[in-house]
Amino acid sequence: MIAAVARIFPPLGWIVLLTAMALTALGLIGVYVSEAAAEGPATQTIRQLGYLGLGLFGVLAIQVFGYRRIGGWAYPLFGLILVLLILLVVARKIPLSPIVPARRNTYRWIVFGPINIQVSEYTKVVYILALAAYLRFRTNYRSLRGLLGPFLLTLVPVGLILKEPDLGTSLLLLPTLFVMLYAAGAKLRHLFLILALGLAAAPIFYFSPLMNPYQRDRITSLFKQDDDDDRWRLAAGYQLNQSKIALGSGQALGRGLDQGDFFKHDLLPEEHNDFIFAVIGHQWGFIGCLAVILAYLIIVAAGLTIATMTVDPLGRLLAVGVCALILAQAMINIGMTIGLMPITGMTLPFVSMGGSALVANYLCIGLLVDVARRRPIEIARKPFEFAAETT
Amino acid sequence: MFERRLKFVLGLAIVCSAALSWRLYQLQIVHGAEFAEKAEDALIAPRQFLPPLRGSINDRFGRILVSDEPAHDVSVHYGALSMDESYLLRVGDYLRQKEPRWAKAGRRELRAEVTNRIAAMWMALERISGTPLPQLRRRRDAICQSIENLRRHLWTVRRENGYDEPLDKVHLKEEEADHPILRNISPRVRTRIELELARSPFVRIEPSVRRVWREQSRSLCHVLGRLGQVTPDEIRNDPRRSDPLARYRPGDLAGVCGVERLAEPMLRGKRGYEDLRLDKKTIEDRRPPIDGLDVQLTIDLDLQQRIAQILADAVARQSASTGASCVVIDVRTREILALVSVPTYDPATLQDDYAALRDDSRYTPLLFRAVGNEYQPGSILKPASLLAALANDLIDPMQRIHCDGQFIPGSKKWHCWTFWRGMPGHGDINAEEAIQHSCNVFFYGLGQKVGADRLTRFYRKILDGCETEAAVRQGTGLIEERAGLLPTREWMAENRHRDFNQADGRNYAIGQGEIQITPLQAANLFATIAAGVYQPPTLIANDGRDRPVISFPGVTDEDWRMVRRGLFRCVNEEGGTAFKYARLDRLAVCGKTGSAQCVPRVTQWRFSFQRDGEEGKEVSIVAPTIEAARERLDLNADSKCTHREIVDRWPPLDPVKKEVPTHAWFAGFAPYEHPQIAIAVLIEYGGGGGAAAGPAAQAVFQALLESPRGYLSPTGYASAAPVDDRFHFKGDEP
Repeated sequence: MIAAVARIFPPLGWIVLLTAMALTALGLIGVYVSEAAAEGPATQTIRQLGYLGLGLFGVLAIQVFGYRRIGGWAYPLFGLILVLLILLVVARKIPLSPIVPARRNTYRWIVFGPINIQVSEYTKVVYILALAAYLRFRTNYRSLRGLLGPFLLTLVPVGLILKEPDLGTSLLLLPTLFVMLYAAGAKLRHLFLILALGLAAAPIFYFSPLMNPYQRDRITSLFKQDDDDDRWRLAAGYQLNQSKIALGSGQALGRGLDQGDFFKHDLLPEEHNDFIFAVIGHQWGFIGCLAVILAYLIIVAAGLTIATMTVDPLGRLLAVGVCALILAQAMINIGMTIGLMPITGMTLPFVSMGGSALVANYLCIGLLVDVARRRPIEIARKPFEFAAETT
Repeated sequence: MFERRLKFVLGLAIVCSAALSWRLYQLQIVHGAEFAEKAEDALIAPRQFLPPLRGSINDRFGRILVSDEPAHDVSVHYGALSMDESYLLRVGDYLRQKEPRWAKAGRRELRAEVTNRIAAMWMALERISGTPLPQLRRRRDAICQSIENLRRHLWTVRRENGYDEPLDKVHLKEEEADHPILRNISPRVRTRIELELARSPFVRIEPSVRRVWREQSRSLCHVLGRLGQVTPDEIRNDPRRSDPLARYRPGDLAGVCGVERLAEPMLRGKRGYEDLRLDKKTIEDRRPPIDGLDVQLTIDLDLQQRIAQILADAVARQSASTGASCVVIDVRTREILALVSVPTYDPATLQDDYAALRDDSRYTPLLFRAVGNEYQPGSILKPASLLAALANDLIDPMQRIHCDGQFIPGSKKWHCWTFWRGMPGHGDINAEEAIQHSCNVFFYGLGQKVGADRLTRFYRKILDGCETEAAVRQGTGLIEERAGLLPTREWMAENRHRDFNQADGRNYAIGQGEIQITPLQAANLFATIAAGVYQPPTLIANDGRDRPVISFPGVTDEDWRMVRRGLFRCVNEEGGTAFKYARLDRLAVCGKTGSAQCVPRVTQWRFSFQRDGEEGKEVSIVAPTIEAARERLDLNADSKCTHREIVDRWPPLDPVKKEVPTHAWFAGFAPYEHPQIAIAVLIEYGGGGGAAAGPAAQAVFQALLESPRGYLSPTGYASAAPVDDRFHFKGDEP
């Protein structure tokens, strides 16, 4: 029996899955505590548990189909996602309510009855699939012109998601692209060149109409967070300020679970979504925060080990992509919670409330587990080894 | 290569994690205690200020004229006032949760229900309070308008500070607050509202404070003044701005005029505060407010009321008269016992009546005549000009001058007043008799001799206590108070483009020409004549101000006595101008009449305005005031009036004399020996001073005699009750 399970889930896959579930549990505890403190029904907790179930079901489903077969559907899936994203952009001009409702003047969700789909979350998974499928048999990305393809593949969904608008998610695809290209063997100087161009373009973007005033405010408030100016602390910097208070007051060991005061009075907006790390920091203190960071490191390290153990190029790229995605999300989210990054709408993977994000992240884990599960078939030279040309 | 690159990626992950961990170490370990403190602070609700009671204003015997009284207001939530869509939906959600009947209702249904309930609430408020619905609507619209304006203002300010956001993203705290719709409701109304609207989510009954004017204080409406919201300038220049509890906050009330403004530093109190914890309603910190101090006026309420009645009657007797004023002043202490201006208005309903009062351009009830309007003094200034001549040693008081009714033979201009009545001149008279008979010819000669410059210099000293050009006059300090007009060489050069001439001297000696003074100045002038020294008048008992006593070294005691004798004879001797009108058997009244030539008052103008944005297009309208014109044309307050012309005046010209009735003055003091009280009475367009103002003055002296306070009793009378030592004007802290 144990042997059978071990065959389905070799240890690395187990480690990844269990770590992710531990993170989800941490988030659930945080939400449950504050819901219990408010003496309301624990609707969010129950809903999140449901999504966890759905996510685990997704993991299982990927094991059944196998990542290779799914990789074969990469382009059709990518097409489907693009169609959905275009639908969201169109909804701004032609009202498509109630299928595409406007929430806080953003168009991010597609609603079919009780099911709310946040398309951009699934875009991440499909994007990794599509990019891995695109890169697996090519070598031309080692020339500058060859990079055009991957970049196009990235910039189209990035542009569409920006229109929703969802700056956080759209910017997330770029580090993923860079890490995957880097892992696949693109020349470093090319990547640096593009990075330099991107950084040079950043000020233009900052002042362009693409950037909303509130987004500019968030960047400014990052630099003004230690000022005594009330204007920032009470307006654009309010959330960051409250987040830092929640986190900092957790001190070394945390305030435990019964100390719900700070959250009972709604002193930290978005506490269960983008700012759940502040809740964890408040409840579990520095130790808890370190544990969370360590958990992500474990997932990333395990993921990268899985990538090295696999010789299948698609598997390798998928594993690297998933690691990059989770790493980037976690680092940016924590960074913005503690005032190292400007605030963007980005969830903490596995921990934040929100169905689409949770399911999408578990789908990523599913891919990782599946890659780990497939035994390496040594019939060819390992992919992405360009011994002769390596500089 | 692949593995090496992956190791590098892992390394990157570890470096990032280390950076985050370092930052977390800083936040949670190094500064953890600070943040824990901040978290505690965050659990305290925003500070609630506790407003202080404003001090009351009392009369000299401590009778309350106006005070703050607790009251109850009915307030309605701003969302229900503005019918804000999100608020309606929010209340809808609330209904769904609270009332099982609506548990399954749709959004639209709930919204309709909420709208109905708000409409029903207005009906109920109308029914219970008896305030008509249109009036409630007007109040509602005024509140919405002012908050909308505030929001717009905030938006522009934020815009200037670099925020770029749409207007509807700017929100005020006021949009989540209740606003008073019915103020100061009776207990009956309160109970009924509590019964009927107790469960309404829109309505609240809130304790508040209101300024209550006593019914009797109508005669003091101008003196008391009124309150208004502080202006940004007042907030900026507030002497107590360094104290966060004492300083003005936007929306605070402060005195706008009258004693409310004059005694603002005493009347205003200091806020208290209350910090509550967010969780339980436990009090974290509390400091009670410090109420404002009461102000004691020197005015006697009974006397004031009585005189107001006398003046109102006097005005009613003269068809042309538009108003009157009387000032009663204590000769020794210069306390103002009465400061009357008629017509009066009701301060309690001023807000509603304001436009009508403002546009009553014939009677100008808002005008504080006793201190706020300047009149030609006419003959009541003759004693002062005589004193000016005596002080400069320019005439011999015993020397007789011949008056045959005209000063320059053959000239039509410089006549004695007898000439106009077809009477012969005064014959040979000396200074004392010139006062008694108010002989113009005597004073033309005197004025010519003394000259306009020396005359006005002396007037400034005897009227205002200003010994030098640069000295600043010290009045009561009321914002309405005007300084009168006593021309100087510079003033003449600027406004008449010439130097003083002989004619000015003649005119000024009889109180005509450019010279203008207020009734308060007139009353104090006669107090000065009675006492022989100048002192500024006092309106607030023990306000802690220095009161200089200014003497007149050039004027001998005999000079003073002679002037007083002239004034005595004026009232008490056959031939005196006031003999027939102001004499009292029981009291030796001294005084002087005055009939001052004056110009009629403009009652209707034609105003022309340039319409905004319409180049060259002018609109014009006939209206009593420019504000009324703007209102009727629906123009904003800063629209510029390009042209105005007079349409109508009051009073009309006398058909026989072809001139308007003169202002009637009587100013004097009593008793002749050891003077105690000085008064000035002015009847606007009352005609002859003796006939119009004399009887009124007589009635005022009668009232003083009859007063139970014994103002004219030989043993003296009750001075203003001693007041608390804390009363100080100068200090920052009350």
